[in-house]
Amino acid sequence: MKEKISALLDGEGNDLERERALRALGADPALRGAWERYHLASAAIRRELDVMVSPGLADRIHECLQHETQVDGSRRSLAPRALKFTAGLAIAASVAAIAILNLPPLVSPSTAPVARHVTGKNAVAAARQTPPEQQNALNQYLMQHGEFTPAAGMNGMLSYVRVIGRDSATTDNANAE
Amino acid sequence: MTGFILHRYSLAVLLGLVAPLALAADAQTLFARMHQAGIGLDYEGTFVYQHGDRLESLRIVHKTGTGGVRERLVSLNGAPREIVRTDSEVRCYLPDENATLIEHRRADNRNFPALLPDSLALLKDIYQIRAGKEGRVAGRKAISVHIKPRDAYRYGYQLWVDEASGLLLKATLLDELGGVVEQYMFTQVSIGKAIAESELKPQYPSKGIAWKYADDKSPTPSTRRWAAARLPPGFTLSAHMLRKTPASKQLVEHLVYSDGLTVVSVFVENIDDNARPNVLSGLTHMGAVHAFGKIVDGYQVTVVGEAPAITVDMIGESVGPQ
Repeated sequence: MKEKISALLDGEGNDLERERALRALGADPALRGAWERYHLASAAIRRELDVMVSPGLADRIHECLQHETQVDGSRRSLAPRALKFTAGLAIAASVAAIAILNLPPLVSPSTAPVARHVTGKNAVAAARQTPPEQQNALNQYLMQHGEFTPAAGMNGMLSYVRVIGRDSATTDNANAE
Repeated sequence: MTGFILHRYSLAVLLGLVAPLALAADAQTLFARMHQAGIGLDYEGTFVYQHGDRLESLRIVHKTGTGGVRERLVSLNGAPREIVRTDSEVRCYLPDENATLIEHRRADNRNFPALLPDSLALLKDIYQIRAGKEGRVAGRKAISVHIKPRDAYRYGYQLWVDEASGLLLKATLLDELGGVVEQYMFTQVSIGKAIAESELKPQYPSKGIAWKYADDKSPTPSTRRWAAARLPPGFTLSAHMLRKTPASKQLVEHLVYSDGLTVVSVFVENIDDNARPNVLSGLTHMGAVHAFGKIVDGYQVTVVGEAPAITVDMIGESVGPQ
């Protein structure tokens, strides 16, 4: 789990892994300690120790949140709140880590858990991946569609990238063997 | 008084010369430059294309000249697919499928695909547009343009434009939560260097079937037979034509719906006489592209677009004979 926490600090992992790590953080005091130590270490590397928070802060916040939730009497709301807070930390941490390299983040930090936007048609949002044989059938349509997309005007043939720059899964597998 | 005006004027000119983009970094200027650069520059480079959990690397060569714009796009990993595009046609070489698709371009006559700065004013009702953040892409100074939709019917765009030339260096498509749907980014690019003719020749010419689409100037249908009954806010019919599929030479009705930035294509074709094993049905996606298929009265309806699921679904479900 500590590896996952470290990955979280570095802004790595997908949404699911991040959510798992944040849940684990909320449940385990030892992990919260590790979380602080990792922050301390990364601050030390960056020589930013003067901005480091005092030890036990995560625990104290966790306690406050727990207390608040018990007063509310709704145990359910604890997880999302704790999650939101730690997610905030995670975002700050990953942004800081990225700032060192001065590179644009490949995966936006905003992909961290956020309240799902309710459109009333969320069922549609879960469209399945187009099966490979249908992707081939779709090529001709994408080519014809491509000339009408603004992307074609903005930068040559970005829209055509989809026709050739996709589904190299079979070749990738062949390379791996 | 005159002196004052002159002074202000020359100051503006001076600033304009010193930092043309940083100071006048409004979206309008950037869009105009981006559009010009996309057409008028010679450049070659390598860029990455990320969609879902996949990462691809591609090379692009772009050359202008008396014969118009010519481009070649090569995938660097996986199947060695290539696209060579001129002003009049698009050739897609697919060695892994032993095929070449040749598509004559229909849009050029009306200069439709260009995202002209004029249309930006109209876009502001549907998108929030911010520009001017400075950054660095492929080792070059870049300025950002952030285009955020005002509803859930379209994707947002985060664009990074080369400060010196106006070339688009990085583009990220964002969903309604700000999550990345897909993105392109140059990792290396050289702009303004002479490009050899050989760079524009396909490296892997397919020996297989060349599907040639006959260049018949098929007339635009006088009466529309098919249409989408429901459209998301801001979308209108931008183009409507009859074309032929490169493979079967069958006539296809092509309807283009657009809000000025997001474009959704509807294709309708008769499937009475040939059995088609891979007809698309229902809603699927390939990266940012959502595709929808259904059969109505013996016609296959196929909808594709770089748009959220709800948009493609709404348009697709509502397509029917008029």
